Amino acid sequence: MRISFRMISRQPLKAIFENLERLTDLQAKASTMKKYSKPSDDPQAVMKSMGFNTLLKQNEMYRTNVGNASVYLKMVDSTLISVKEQLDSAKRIALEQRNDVSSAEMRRAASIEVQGIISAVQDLMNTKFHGKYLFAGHETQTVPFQEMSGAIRYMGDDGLIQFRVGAARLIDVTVPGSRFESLGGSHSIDSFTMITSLSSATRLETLNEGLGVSPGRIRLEVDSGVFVDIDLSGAETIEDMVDMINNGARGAVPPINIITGINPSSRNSIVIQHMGSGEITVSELDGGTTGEDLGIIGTSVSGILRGAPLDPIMTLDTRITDVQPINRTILQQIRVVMGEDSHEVDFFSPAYPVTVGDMLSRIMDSVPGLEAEINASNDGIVFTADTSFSIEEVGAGTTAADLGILGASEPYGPFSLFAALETLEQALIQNDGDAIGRSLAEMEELINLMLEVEAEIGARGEQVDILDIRLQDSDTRLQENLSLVEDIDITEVLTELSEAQLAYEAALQTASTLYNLSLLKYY
Amino acid sequence: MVTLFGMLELNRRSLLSSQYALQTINHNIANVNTAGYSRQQVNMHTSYPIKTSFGVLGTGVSAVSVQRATAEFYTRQMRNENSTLGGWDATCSVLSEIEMIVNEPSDTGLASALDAFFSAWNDLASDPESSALRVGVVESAKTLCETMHEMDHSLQKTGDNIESQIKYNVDQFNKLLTMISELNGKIVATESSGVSASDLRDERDRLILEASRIARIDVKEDRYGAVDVFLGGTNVVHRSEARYLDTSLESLSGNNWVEVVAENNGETIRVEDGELAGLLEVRAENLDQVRNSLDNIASILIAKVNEIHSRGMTSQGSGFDFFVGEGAGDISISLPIEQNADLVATSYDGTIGDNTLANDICTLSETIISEDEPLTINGLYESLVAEVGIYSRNARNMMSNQTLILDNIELRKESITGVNLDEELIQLTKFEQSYEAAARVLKTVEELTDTILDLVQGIY
Repeated sequence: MRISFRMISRQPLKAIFENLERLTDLQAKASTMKKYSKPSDDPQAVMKSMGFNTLLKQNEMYRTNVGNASVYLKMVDSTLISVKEQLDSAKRIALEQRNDVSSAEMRRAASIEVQGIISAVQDLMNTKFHGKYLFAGHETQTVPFQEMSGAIRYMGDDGLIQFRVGAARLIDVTVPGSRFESLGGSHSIDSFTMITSLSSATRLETLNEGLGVSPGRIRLEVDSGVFVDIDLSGAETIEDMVDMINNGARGAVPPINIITGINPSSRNSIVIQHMGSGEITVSELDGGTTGEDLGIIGTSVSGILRGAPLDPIMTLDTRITDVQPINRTILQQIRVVMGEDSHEVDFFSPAYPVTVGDMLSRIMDSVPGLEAEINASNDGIVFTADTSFSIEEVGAGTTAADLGILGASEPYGPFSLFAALETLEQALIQNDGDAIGRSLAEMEELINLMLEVEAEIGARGEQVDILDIRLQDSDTRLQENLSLVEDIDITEVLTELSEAQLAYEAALQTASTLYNLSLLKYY
Repeated sequence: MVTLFGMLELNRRSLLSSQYALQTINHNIANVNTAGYSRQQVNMHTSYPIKTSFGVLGTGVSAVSVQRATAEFYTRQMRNENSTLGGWDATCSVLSEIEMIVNEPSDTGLASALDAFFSAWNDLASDPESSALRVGVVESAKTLCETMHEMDHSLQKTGDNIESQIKYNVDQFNKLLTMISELNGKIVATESSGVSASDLRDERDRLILEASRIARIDVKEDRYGAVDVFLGGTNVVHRSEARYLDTSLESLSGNNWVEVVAENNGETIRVEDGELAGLLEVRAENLDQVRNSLDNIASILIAKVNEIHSRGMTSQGSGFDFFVGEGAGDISISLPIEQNADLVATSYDGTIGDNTLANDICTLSETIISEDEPLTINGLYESLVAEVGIYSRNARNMMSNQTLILDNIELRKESITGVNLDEELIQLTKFEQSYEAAARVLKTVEELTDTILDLVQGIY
């Protein structure tokens, strides 16, 4: 091929330009650390990186919201725990003051305590956080629980404050105060007060009004100076406990001859009798309270140690033969009338109930919509339904009358958090034992509600924690992806850069050599 | 009949031929760097011989003509490829301007402004009671509007630039047509006497190449040496006459745009390839599309945000649209809200702590626009950016490919028509020596003549 002078000058120039362009391009990459600076450098990558950046920003928003939600939920949770503690106190007061032993003075004193509880709960429910009343619904700038004409009323609404913690995912961060309004609203029938007696099957945890027995060892001693240490920690029932004491005594050296059993007259305490009419002393070991919990601590008079009352509560496992007045009657049939419907409960079919639980299940299985439970103070049974109902005898039976459940239901509620506390206060002031009893049920329900709400808040808190971890993970993942898409491999670029530099220098050198070659030099 | 004077005549032609050759070499060397110059060569052949009784006797050399090296095939190819290159060059420069306007990926582009807007709403959602955060929402919306205005304005300006470039190109093309038609006249006049008008032809070729960069043209040479130039089927140069182009404002796809028309009758001329076609196309396709997409994004944002916000309620009023306007050029915050940020609603029922509406607006950023358009607002913009990038990248690749092709052809043409100094120097030496030899012969003839004259002197 024939080469013209212009070709000689143009070709190297082109090479120089090409190398220079590549050099500049690589230098730009090395100095920005990015693979591209404009969409046309790599349209797909730019689109991806924009997408990742948007997702990252969204993630950041979610993470902020999750962080905020977590703080709000913790605040709500701790507030509600405090409210529940106050309600526990109120419940305790109602329990203590309900029986006839309490005098008007004692109840009046208790009412002052309840007053304190009311204002503490009011303060708690008016908690302001981050400029918002937490329990006011959407009315975050209005004090939610205000005293108006002598009663505390809810001034907020039932709005939910929600934070966005994911695409189309909202989480409630507060509880509107309306949640603690309009509670109850059911109809119920209470049975006679029932007394639970001890039997060999009575479980130890039901003793002492349900406080139970702390497991431990006791020391049994007779006046002869013989003693034996008995470990009762494995005992579950009265029978276990009695056997352990009797066997323990028999195992002493020499054997102690005693008989331990349930006091047959009261059926509410333990009796230990020494066959030799010796003096029996029961004492605690290891600083425990086992003996005291069983009511058998102390020294006997003339060979018989009579224990203190054990007051077992009624549970679903309690045998009906241990419960007065159920044990005095034979359950036959009852009829429950709810509106148009009427249902018969036959206690003989398919089998006569053994425990209180069996009895209640039989009733609930036979009457849909009727709730049959042990009452709040564990000394009776209560039937509840959303509508009014009545219980009748079947034929000439007397089952309903025997249990004290004959007749029409009584409406219960609706009541609110503060109304319930105020009712309790009034009942105490007015020295009204029955009203205090009714308040107890309301306190019970309020505490259950608090537990329910706390469980919800707890579950949300867990969700938020999980979300936080997940968002953190996806943040890392997005960052990695973004880096893969847009960040240069610095080693690679620097290597390429030095290559390009070399190529550029080579082009310059070739050009200068080429330009010097001419026949003219030899003329 | 051979005579001494006849030899002198032969010698004269010999010296003259060498001089012609040297002159041409000189011309070649002088034009070594002239664009479009084709090297020239003196055509020589033996002059007409004399018949004598003893045979045919040579009468030396005669320089017949000066001829330029031609590579007509490559010249044509160059014109074609130059048109294609011109088209991609214009497209490429407009697209990279659009890319600069789009300004992605960056922290100041529309994508960031959109993110910031939704982020401000998110902040407000976590504290709907706050006045300061409402101001934050309004400010971020202002930035978003300004970013859109800026982009729209710049795109508009790009459109204006394209128009003035079209006008400039048309003027330039007309000038080239004038010069080509004038050269046609000169070439025909020169060559009618039988000589080749090499330099004029070089110049005409150069002008035609220049014109082909502006638009693809067909060139046909007639037997008198004039060329006819055709543009999209219209004969724009015929002999020494030119028909000029003009621009006129035409309404095209809803826009008032400059179009290329014939000057005499105002008919739209179909322009293929070349810078003109590139500009017309990139304006109609890419620029228009980008502007429409941007308008589309703005109008979707306006509609979606307003649809939610107008149902909102604040302590100071209800039912306000958040944005006003129809597209990227006029999107702005509605006046009452701009004047009073407390009118930014977070709630549908006006309750102070309710953030339902604010949450719903935040959700807009991650919900698809519609079943037909399964993209988010951000996604729509991302695909717009990617599209611009793909077009621009494609144009750039095509341009560099085309440059390579053109370079290659030019190289081949240059190989035939270019001047090589070494070659010329050798030629120079060659003709210098032949000149010297001829001079030497002249000397000999002179001596011979002297000898004869001396003889004559001796007789008289």
